[in-house]
Amino acid sequence: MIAYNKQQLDNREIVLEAEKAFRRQLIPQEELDSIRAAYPVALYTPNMYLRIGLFILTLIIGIFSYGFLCLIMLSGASENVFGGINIFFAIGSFIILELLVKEKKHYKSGADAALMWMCGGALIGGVMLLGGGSDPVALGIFFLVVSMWFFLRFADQVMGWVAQLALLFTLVEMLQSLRLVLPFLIIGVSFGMYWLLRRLVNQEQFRHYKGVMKGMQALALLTLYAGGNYFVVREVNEGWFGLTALPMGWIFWVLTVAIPLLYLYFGLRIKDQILLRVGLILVAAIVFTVRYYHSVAPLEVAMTAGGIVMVLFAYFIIRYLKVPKHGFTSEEDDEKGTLEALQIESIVISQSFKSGVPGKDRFDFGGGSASGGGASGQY
Amino acid sequence: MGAPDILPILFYMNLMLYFPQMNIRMFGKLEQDGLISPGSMSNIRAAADKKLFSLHWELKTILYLGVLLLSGGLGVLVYKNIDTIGHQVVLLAIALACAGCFYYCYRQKLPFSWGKVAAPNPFFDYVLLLGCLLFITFITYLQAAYGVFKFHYGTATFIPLVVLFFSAYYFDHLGVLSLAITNLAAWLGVNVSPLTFLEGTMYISMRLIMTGLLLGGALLLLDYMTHYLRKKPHFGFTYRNFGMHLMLLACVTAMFKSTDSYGMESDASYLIWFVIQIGISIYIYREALKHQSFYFMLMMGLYGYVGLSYVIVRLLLLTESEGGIYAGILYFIASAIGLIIFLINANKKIKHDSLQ
Repeated sequence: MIAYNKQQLDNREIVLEAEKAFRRQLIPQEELDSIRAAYPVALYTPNMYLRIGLFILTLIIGIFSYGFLCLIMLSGASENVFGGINIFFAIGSFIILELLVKEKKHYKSGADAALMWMCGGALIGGVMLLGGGSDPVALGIFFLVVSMWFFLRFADQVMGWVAQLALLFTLVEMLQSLRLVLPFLIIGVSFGMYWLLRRLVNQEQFRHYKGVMKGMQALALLTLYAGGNYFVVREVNEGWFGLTALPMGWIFWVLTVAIPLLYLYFGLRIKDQILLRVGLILVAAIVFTVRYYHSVAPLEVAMTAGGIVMVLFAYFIIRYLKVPKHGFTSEEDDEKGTLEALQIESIVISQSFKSGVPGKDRFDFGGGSASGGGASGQY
Repeated sequence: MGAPDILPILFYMNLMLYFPQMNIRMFGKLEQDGLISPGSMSNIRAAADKKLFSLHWELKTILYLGVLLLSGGLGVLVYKNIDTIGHQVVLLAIALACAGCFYYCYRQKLPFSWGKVAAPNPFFDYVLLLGCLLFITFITYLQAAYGVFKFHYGTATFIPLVVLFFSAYYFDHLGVLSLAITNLAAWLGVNVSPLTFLEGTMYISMRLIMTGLLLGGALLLLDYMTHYLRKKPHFGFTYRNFGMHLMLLACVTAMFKSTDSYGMESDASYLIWFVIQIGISIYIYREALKHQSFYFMLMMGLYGYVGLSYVIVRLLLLTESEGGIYAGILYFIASAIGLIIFLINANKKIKHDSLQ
């Protein structure tokens, strides 16, 4: 199923582990070199910046090639012709993608992700132009099949996410009539996905999907929360069904507050980084949901107080963990090399503060416009 | 406040980076094959047995967000209460907190050196950042409420500027240095944050473009001097980063500006800007090779691509024929392929040892 040479993927994993051990000064340079020699990696995975560059440029090439095709066929302009062009374009990108992977050994190089997106997009666009997009359920299933196929064949992160969302979308569209059960359905299905992904992630035969499945776990946890969040449920009910009063609203208030706390609890209990981080992000979601309906204090007071609480909280925990306790430490373990080498902090801070003058009381985070056109979504 | 936009990305990247345990079984096999020595194997076993769970990133993020919220909240608080009695209390609180932050940093800091100085403890960087942000709020507020600096509005931004640069060097803090550069640009009238540019809220005049170009040039010179004089050479990246973006952005913006209004189709000043851009790009290219940084190679390449494409499209427009459209499309396909080949080859020139 997977397009890559499995031996190569395994070699890559071994060398990555060895490099990590080397960075932690567990093995000397000579041993790292001998491991590299014994497990050669021919896969082409450039650094993050080149991946972003390849992604953008491949998209540019694709879009202009598509434009060129359309321009040539302009005389016979009908929906069917454009549908045909789309299908042809999708097939073409898929062939190039396969060649890139098989011949040039690209593995998460940015170019492959761009081709995947274009192929999938053109295919779905083509099917819709040819008249197959009228039924949302059918469209959802089509999305699911296409993204699942890409996910299985290329172990791509974004495609995995799309597959998850397509599954949820299809279910919601199918079972729209059961609107009161819908939130629980989403919670149930998301939990099922999370449970399954946790089981599969450590299975030997799925080892090549390991990293991607972790990202998918995070999304499953997020959709689980969205299913029970008071704000989301209420807005959807109002927008879709025109209901103003939410029956049994208190259940959703309980879920809104309890789910992130449960994530945090279990994250610390079983020492799972994904649960913990998603839980932390969702604590912000609790704050915003509550603030949306009950304005406890003016925004600036809430910000100041929240800031003080957070700073003090982090301060005391770091002090407390100065000597590692209960298996926790506040020291970093391995991420040093990568993040520091990219000097990301410097770039981040310069982006963060627009100018010295604070003025507007705009406060828009949480939702996060984290759509940054990253490469294949893998880092 | 753009930081919250960035943080989810960091979180996500970090999520992807994390591999919880060392793969003991795999290393066992490597030992059997004689690729690693029994000594290393026992090292690895010992490391895996400790199996400490790191909360480093989570705590740092909370701390960072807390600092942002606190300084932002106080900033708004002081403006909201500008006509009430309470504002003096808030002002006093800000002044005290700011002084406290600087005092803490002064007491805790390691001895000054022109090289890289490590932070003495995990809080140091954040306390300094908070102190600097509060100081900016304090000065801006003084000006707004009391007009302390009368008509010299520039002074109100100049004082924080000096303090920021001094703090960046004295306490060795890259984030504060970025803040200082941003403020320097604001003082000169250029808002350098890429976000403002993307939002399109920046009014672009020729004066602004020239300022950007000169400031960018000055920053690149500063980068050169930090290495030449060996004064805080690790600050070079930040100077170079800002300098490159400012200069190249100024060139590209100036080119686009030459078709701003009607009747300027024959304005050929864009060619001059393109030549300037080529010159800067060559310098950046050499710097990128010197510092083995692919980031600069990519940025230089992308700006160059935009500039070249603009020139080509303008020239094709002169032909006023249908063939020009075809030629344009073919140009974009060919040039993108060309840029890919250039970037891949440039990447090979910059050695990367590890797979990541």
